[in-house]
Amino acid sequence: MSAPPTTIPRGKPGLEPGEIDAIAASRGLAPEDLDVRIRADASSRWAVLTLYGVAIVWLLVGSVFGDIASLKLHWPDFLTRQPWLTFGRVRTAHLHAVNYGWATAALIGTSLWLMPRLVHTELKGVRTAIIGSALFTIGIAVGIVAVLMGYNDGMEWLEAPRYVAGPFLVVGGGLIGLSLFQTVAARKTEHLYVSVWYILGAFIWFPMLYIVGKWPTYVGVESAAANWFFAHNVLGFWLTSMSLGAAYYFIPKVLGRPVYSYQLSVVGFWSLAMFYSLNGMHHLVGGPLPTWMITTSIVASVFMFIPVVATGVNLHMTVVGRFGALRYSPTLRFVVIGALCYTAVSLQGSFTALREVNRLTHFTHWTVAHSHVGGYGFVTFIAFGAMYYVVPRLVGHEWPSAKLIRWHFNLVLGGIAIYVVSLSWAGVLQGLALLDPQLPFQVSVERTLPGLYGRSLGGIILTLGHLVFAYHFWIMVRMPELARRTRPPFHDAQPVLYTAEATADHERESHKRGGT
Amino acid sequence: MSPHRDARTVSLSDPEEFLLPTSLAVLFATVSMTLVPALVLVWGWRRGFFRDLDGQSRVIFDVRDWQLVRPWESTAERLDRALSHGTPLAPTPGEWGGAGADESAR
Repeated sequence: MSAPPTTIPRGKPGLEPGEIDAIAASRGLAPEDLDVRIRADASSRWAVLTLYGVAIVWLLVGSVFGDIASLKLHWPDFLTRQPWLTFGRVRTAHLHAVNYGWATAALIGTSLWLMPRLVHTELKGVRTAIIGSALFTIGIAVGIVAVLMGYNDGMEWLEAPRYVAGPFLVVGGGLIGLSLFQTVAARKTEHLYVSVWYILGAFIWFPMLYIVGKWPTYVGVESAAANWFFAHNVLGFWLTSMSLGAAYYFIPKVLGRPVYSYQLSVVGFWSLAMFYSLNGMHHLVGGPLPTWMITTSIVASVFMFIPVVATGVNLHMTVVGRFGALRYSPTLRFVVIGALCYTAVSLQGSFTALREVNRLTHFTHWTVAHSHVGGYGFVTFIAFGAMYYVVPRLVGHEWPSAKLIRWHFNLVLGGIAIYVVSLSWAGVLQGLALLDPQLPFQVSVERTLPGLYGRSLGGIILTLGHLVFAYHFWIMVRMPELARRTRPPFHDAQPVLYTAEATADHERESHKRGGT
Repeated sequence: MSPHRDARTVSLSDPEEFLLPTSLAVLFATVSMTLVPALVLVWGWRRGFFRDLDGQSRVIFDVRDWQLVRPWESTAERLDRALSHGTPLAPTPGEWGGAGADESAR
């Protein structure tokens, strides 16, 4: 069986009406059914593929910087002759490359692909989105080069110089957002699926956060407050929003069943919207800020149980009983693990915000491990899953190698597991040593060494996984002939069996579910 | 608040000088980001965006999604799907975001 994929023909931005009919006829479908989906994919194709390509380049660059920074922690004489390779610059470049270059670009690309499908229309302002993507990419590149040259605004997550990188990021992100809002305004469906709320929310919240975070007049402790207001909220309102929007689409879509409880998804979104903005100050427990401010933040962090449990339960219950699907769908494998990590990192964050826990974990490697459960286990896994689903629909053929997908999955899963476990353990040991007044500071450093070796090992394994993914993406997009030649035979779907045994099975299951 | 906003000229001896603007800048943004979603929620409720939630949960599916044969489903589930949604359809290559036969042969 070799049915043509329901993807757009290569080499053109749009489709003629006759082409829809031809593809639909070959699939035995009504033209209007395919029309929406194919036109939606065709409209976003160039912007999405460009963003995905850029994201993967930054993923590789960011991985190398991350590995260098990690090695320097237990190998301090490594690469010290060049100022641009010193820890302060390399670590910052890593953070910018992976958070803005990789995760943001990959999730914006996914959002641009999702939105037209969600509102049953084509992407509006395609050129606006492409120009915005280009400017955003330039902004990231300029920011990272500036950081490596030693120009730095001095606020974590906001180090890229505001007057150099800022204009590109603001204008670029604004143009992409404009395209998305135009698309929603032109929607052809009455309903707004929960993913639409998440994506639109992200593009409303991020400019507010960026303006507050980058406002140039902060001094002293103001900077710390504004810094963590931005740095924590950019996770919850930007990366989390787009990631959950994607998870709410891909899990039900692959399984072919609606989400477990749509009511819970609504509760999850609106409680995130209302409670999350108060969270950031819990990073400053013990700092020179008003006590009420910190306490309010801790209370809000505990309140986060509501959206987290609502979302976690909802996504997990959608998959429960269908875990067999993870064997067949790499998208589902990545996205489901991403959803699990969302629940884990959020609950971990709520507990870590409590003063007694924070006393142990603050200023330790625990925080770095925690941020990687969120930034990698949650956000990056969902981005990988989304790309495995989206790219075949844009380039017109499936991924060339199941083996490479398995290598990628196993490497990144193993790498992040080693990274998080070793660094969390090191963080606890470090915290205990720091709290013990009998121990010299040196002891707290020495106790982290095994964890730091684990961190470097995990990071290098992650980089290998990224290389596999980048190579696979390159074959997929740039070498279509090779991709087609290496494609395994199309998997035949098992036929539906209308046998007495099948009917009996069906009746038994219906009876179990309370059916008649 | 000191009229001079340069960090080098601000006295560290008066913490209140730092705390008030800290509170105001972040507080204003935080309250805005909490209240605005609440207002949007009320607006959306009145506009009817939360009616027919069951319909909303199904808006991502088209007819083909319901009819696709999913290799991980049991025979009974497939029969259920066929009875509810009509003729089963075979998935296309890469349907589940993967690479075909090898994925299911693990």
